[in-house]
Amino acid sequence: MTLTESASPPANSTNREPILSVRHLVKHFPVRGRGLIRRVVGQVHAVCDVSFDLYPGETLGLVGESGCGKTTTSRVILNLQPPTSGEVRYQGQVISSLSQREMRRLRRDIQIVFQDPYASLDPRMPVNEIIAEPLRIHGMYDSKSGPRQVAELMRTVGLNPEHGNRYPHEFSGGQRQRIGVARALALRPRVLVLDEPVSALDVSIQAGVLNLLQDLQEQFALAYLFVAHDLSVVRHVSNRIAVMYLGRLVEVAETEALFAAPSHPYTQALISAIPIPDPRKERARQRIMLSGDVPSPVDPPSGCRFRTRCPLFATLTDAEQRRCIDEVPALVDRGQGHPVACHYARPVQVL
Amino acid sequence: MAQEQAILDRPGTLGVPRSLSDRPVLVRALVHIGRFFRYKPLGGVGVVIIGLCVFAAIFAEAVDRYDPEDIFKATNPAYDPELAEKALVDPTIRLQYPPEKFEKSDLPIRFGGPSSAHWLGTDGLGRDLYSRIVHGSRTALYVGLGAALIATISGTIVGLASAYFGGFADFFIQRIVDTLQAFPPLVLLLLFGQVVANPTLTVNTIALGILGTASSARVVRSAVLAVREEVYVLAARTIGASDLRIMVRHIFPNITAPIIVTFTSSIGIYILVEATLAFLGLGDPTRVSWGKMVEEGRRNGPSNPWMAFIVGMALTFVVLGFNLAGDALRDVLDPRLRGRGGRAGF
Repeated sequence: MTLTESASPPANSTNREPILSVRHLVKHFPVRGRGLIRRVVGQVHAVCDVSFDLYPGETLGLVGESGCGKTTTSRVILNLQPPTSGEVRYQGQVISSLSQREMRRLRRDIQIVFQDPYASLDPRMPVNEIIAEPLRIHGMYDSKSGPRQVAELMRTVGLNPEHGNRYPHEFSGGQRQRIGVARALALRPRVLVLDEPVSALDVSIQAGVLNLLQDLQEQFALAYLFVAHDLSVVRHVSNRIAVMYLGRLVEVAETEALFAAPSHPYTQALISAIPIPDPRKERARQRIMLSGDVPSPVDPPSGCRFRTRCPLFATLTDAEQRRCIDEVPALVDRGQGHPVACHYARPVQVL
Repeated sequence: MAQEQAILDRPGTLGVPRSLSDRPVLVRALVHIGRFFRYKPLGGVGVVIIGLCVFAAIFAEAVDRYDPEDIFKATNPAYDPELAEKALVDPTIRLQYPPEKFEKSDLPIRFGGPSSAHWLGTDGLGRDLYSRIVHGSRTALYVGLGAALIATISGTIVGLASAYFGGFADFFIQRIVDTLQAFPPLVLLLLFGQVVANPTLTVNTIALGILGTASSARVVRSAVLAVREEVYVLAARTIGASDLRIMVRHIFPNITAPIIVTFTSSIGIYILVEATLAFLGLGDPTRVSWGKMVEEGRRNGPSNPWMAFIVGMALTFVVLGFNLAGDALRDVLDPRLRGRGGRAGF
C-alpha cells in the first residue's frame, strides 16, 4: 500500500498539508488468562494498519459498526493510549514520542467531544468550572477575563451563561453535549475528534448539535474527525468518509463519490441499510443483507477480514477466493477513483 | 405551560426551570438540612444526640453543676455522741459497737443515689456523677473525633493514591493494610500501651487513628476504583490535567459521600474503643473517662449497679447517636452502600 494513494487529499486541496496524519497505526490489546500469573494468551486486534490524513478545515467521517476500532483509533490519536506500532503526526510531530510537557501543549490543539454526555461531565462540578478547567490548566484563566471567556463560550454553543452555576444533571442530553463542545473549544483547538457526538441524543436534538458543530467549524476553521456509526449523519457532515471494518480501513472516498459508487462490498451493505424516508421506494429497494456476526478481533480471518461475510466472496470461483483468503487486499485505487481494500472491487450503485 | 414556554422562548436561552443551584450557598445548605430532618427522622435524632454531646463537651464548665473532682461529704448518720463520750472514759466500749458510731468527722458520699443535690448520684469517691459524665463527654469526643479525623485523612490519601496509580504500589499498600487488619485491634492497642509507658489521651487517639487508617483506606480505594474509569476522568486527561489535579478536583469530590459516611460511623466505634481501653486501665489516668467510670461502678458490686448503668447509658446514647446519623447520611449520600429498607436520596 502506498501512502499517497491511501491518503488521497480532497480534490480541491491537493496542495494543502495535512494537519493530522495517521500512518500504519496498529493497536493490540493483550488478552490475559485467568489465575495468578495472568499470562498473555492472545491479542485483540483493535486497529490494524490504519492510515489516513486530516486536512485543515475539513470533516473526515470515520464509520463502521460497533467494535470495529473507531473509538480506539480516536483514543490513540489523542495519545490517551500508546499505539502498538505506527504513528500519529500532528503538523509533522509524532505525538506518541512527545514529552509530557510537549503533550500538554499539544492538547490545546487536539480536543475531543465524547459520545455520552451523561458520563463525560464531572457530576460534582458546576458547568462554569467544567468549561473553565482547560483554561485554568493551560494558564489562560485569570479572575478578570476568565468568567467573561466562559460566558462567551457558553453563548457560542447556545447555552445561557446564567446557568453556569448549575450542575450537569440539571441539563438535558443535548445541552450537556453543548457543554462538552464548549469545554473542547475553550482552548481554541485546530482538530476536534468527535467520538459519536450525537449517537446518545434524541434524533430531534441531534440536528441542533450537528448544526452547531458545522457553524463552529466555519467560525473557528476546525478540522473534524467525525467518528460515527450512523451513515446518514456522517453523510450530512463529512467532506470525506473512511469506512472501517474489524480494525482495518476498507474504503476512503469523498462523500459524494462514496455514496454514488461504493466499491467495497461492506460499504455497499452499509449504504443499502440506510432507511429511505419514502415508503414506496423503501419497499421497492433491494437491501444487501450480511449474514453472520463480526468475527472475533482476537482471531481475525486471514487475508481479507470481510470475506467471511462478503456477498461478493460467495459468488467468486475457488481460485479467486484463494486470493481473498491468502492475500490482504491493499487500500489502493483500482480504477474506482478512490482507494478501496478489495481485490475485486467494483462500484455498485446502491441508492 | 405558558410560563414554561416563555422561558424556552427567552432569547439566547435553552430553557431550564429555576434551580436550587442558582440560590446562595447558605440557602442551599439550609434546604438540604431541612430535608434531612424531614425525611430521615431517626438520623435527625442521631444529629440531636451528637449536638447535645458536642454542646456538653464544649461548654462542660457551664453545663456541669460542680467541679468533677470535688469530693462531697456528709455527716455520719450513725454517729452517736453519747457513746463517743463514754468511749473517752472507757475505751473498751468501742469493741462492742461498729466503728462508725464513734466517728464524728464527715465521710465521702460513696455511691450515693440520685438526689436533688446530685442528680445522678455520686461515684465511689463521692464526686458528682452528673458533672463527671458531662466532663467525660469531652474525653469521648476528643478521642472519637480525633481518631476518626486522623484515620479518614490518612486513609483517603493512602486509598486514593493506591487505587489511582494501581499496579505494584497498589498491591504493596493493600498487603500492608491486610496485615494491619489481621491483628485484633485491641491486642495492638495493648501493645501500644505497653510501649508508651504513660499513655496520654493524644497518644491513644493517634494510635487509634493509625489503626483505623487501614479500613478507611479500603473504603476509599474501592470508591476510587469505580470513579477513575469514568469518562469525565478521561476527559480531564484530554484537556491536559495532571494526575494530582485529577485526583483532587475530579476523583476526590466524587468519593466524598463514602468518606463522610465512614467518618461519621467510625466516630462511635472509636469512642467505644477508647472506653474499652480506659476500662482495662490503659486510658489517660488524668482524664475523666466513661470507660473508667463504668469499671469503677462495676467494682461496686452487682447489688448496686446504678453507677455502671447510668454511665453505660451515656456511652450507649452517644454511640447510638453517631451510628444513627451515619446510617442516615449513608442512605442520603451513598445509596450504593445502603442495606435493605433504605431509600436513595431523599
